[in-house]
Amino acid sequence: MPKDINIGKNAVVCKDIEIRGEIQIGAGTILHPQCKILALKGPIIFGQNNIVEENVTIINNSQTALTIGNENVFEVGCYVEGTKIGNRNIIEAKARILGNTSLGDNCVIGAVCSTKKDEVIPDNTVIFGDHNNRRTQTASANQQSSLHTRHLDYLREVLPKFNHVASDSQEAVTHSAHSTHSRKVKQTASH
Amino acid sequence: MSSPSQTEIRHIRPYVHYNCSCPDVNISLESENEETFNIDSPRIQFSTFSISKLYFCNDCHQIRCPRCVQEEIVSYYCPNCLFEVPTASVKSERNRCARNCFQCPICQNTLSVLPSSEPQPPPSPISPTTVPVPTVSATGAPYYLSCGVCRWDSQEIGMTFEKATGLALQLQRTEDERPDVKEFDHLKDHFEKHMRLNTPSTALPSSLLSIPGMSSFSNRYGGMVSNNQQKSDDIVPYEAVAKVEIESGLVDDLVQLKDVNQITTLTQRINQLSDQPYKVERLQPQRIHLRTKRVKRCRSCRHILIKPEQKAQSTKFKIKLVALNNIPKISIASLPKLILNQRTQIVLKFSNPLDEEISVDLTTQEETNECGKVDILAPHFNITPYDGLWEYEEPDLIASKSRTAPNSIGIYERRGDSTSIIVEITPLSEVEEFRFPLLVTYTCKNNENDGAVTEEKTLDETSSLKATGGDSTADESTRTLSFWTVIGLGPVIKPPSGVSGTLVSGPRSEPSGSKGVTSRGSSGNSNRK
Repeated sequence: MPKDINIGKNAVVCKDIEIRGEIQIGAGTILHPQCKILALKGPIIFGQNNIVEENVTIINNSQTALTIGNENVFEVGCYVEGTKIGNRNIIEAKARILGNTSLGDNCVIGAVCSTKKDEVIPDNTVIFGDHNNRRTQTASANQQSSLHTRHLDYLREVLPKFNHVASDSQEAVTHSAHSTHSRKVKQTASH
Repeated sequence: MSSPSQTEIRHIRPYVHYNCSCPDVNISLESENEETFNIDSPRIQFSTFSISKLYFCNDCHQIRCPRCVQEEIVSYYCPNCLFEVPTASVKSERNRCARNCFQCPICQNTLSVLPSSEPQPPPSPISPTTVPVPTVSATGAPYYLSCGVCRWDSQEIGMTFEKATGLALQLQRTEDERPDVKEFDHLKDHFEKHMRLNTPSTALPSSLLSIPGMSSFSNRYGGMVSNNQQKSDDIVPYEAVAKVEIESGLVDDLVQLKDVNQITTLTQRINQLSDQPYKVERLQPQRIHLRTKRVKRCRSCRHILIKPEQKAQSTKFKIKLVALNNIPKISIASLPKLILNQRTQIVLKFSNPLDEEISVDLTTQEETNECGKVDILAPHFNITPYDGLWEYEEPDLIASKSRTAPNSIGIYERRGDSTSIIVEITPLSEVEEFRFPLLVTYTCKNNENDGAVTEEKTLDETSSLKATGGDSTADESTRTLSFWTVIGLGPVIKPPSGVSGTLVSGPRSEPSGSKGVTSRGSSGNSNRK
């Protein structure tokens, strides 16, 4: 399957990831090592400034594109399979977004919680607890956005020190077992 | 995780539970002798425990369970800030934390205190600030409470604080205005004078005051005569201060409800006992309840079994007499699927926590279990104690060095400080949970008291014993303890079509639902020296 991935400006994409299919990564998005972005039947399009942490599986099993907005955080071990993810969401560790669900803006899917299949989750929803309770949160976006900016800055500085990173203009970041091209390791100014 | 698994039958896990015959609780059942154990009686739910919950009294040489120990409180502490509250202020703070610890009204998790905005560095006094500074102060006040789990925050109900510490104090004023608190204070004031006059202020020592009827005794002999007349005068009929308000709008609101999420849940209402509101907006964060550290004693001999350290941060114990360190631990090492009418072998692992070798005898009930037949292939066996030298040796050598009994039929493996035996199960009925009782008797040679015994002998008798020297050649006492256990093995399933004959399946390397004990994949030890 041809690996065709388009990396935006200032994005930090570690090399040790598993990717399939057609993927577009927006500017400033950070992909940690060991994540899996599998655009099996349709493309996956990331927005800007997202953070995808380790062991995250983002799968697109349908023909339509999976659009992910800006400034989302996908924490360790989560599983995402929806049709559309909005902006500024936090999907906590080991959470699951199943089926054809679409997520609005500013939501929080708590740790180990999951949505049902084929749901439309409105903005500002919080899913939490043992029984996947739901409630709506009031927008207190200030705190979170500044925290997110600081998180992004920290990762941009630290991740390239310990991982091989694909640079902006280069294409085809392959899985480490199949590495054939020579790469330029991105150097940050502070290093 | 996903909802389909939750709708299936709940998985019944296998277990080994120990029965505690609580001595002072079950006096009426002394007629029940050791041989019978009714596994179907409803008492089983309350008298059997897993070994992690049991204690062991060294003096009575008996198992003690959480129901037959006596508890005394050592200290009170807050589970969030781990602050030890002195006993005197526990009552005045109503058993709750007096500092910044609050509980989310929605999900009951701990709330954290956050500033409303980022703390700005104070503007330098030199440069004139022409940039308009927001009205938020440099330290980031006002502060509010926020829940990390359900993302509730106290700004939703308009609760903010000026300082980040001493929040309970800042809320004290509103708390004192609550109608139930005011009512209680009024009650106390009303009856205080009356109670003070009633208590006997006599020369009786306080130790005698606990005897009922003593106070009238003392009044006759030592009290003033005028007291009697004052008593009847003081009982003025009490008038309540608080008025019970009936919210007329509440019923209409409840009738027009469309979404059940607008109503508080029972857990949320129980956590706010003062007014138990129906509407989610009226829920308020409560202070966190204090917890206690307790000393547990054996009821028969009053010796301390558990004594924790006073400090709230330390989880250690000064005295820790638990069953895990004294009685053999039984775990299920291998449990293949139980299929109706097929003979399967399970492996039970017994491990010896003591320093001496113990010998174990197993017996089952005489009458057959209605679930099926249970055959113990090795009813008597020994278990060697733990030897510290094993840490430095090869794992393979350890198994070979442990002594083997003359007959090793039925013994699956001896390794280190444990012996695993084979039990054959033939389920005869398709039950949700196959369980059977097992009477375990262990005997251990006890060398502790020999020093004292031989000393007494050398004092009383003269020449003969002095010659032998007073060491371990004197008689060794053996200690025996027997207890019932209930072993549950999970469900019995029908044989899949096409399988015939008896299935004698050995243990697999990944047994289903075993209690975290890794089973050894190696073969049995029949040829080992």
